[in-house]
Amino acid sequence: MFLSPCFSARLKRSAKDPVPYCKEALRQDLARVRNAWDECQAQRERDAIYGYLTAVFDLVAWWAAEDRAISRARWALQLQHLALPTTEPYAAVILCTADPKKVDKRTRSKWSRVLRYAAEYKPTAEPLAAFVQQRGGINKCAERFTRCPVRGA
Amino acid sequence: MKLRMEKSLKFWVDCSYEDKKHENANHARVELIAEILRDYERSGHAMRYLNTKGQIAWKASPRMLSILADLEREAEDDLADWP
Repeated sequence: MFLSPCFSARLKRSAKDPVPYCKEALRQDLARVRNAWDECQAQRERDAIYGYLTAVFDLVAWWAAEDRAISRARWALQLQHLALPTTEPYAAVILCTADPKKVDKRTRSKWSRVLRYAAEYKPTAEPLAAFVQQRGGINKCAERFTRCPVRGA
Repeated sequence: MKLRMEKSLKFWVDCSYEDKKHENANHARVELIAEILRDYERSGHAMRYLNTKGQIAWKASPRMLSILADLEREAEDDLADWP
């Protein structure tokens, strides 16, 4: 029987994964990131945003480890009835979880660049906030990513 | 595939496994553990994450940790009220 490469890849993946990731699990993951957003909004500290960015980064990190970051980001957008013509998972998760009145396209793009920069260069064990702060903060890291000649993300 | 779990989640998953194993005697341990994790994940009590070695692992969600903290406080209060 002929199986398309896409279907056979999916079959292999589900055979390997004893706990398939379902829609309800995705909903719960997005709800947790949304909670992190609410918590950071309730705090007055300037660094509170790192709690939210860490939640976004951690979610996409394990999706990426399964090589499913883009497809799951698209699934998340679909679940929220949102349209974003993107192949960029961080921006998609931010759009799904942060208040669009407070996070415009420019900010979303900046945060997404910071997270892609961290995905590229941050050692796994180092906390995101420490990594970004040591490299000059959010704006500086976004700028570094933009200037970066080689991008794997 | 190995299911890596952080300590506090593992404790509760093992408890659920002990409850379930008698009703599911023909199931392998790994199958039952996977089923328990799936239920925990769906209900928002467990979540996956990337550990410091870059491996996908499971941990108790913030919601579950807060429920456990509440239960612990209640148990301590009960103990304090004990004559």
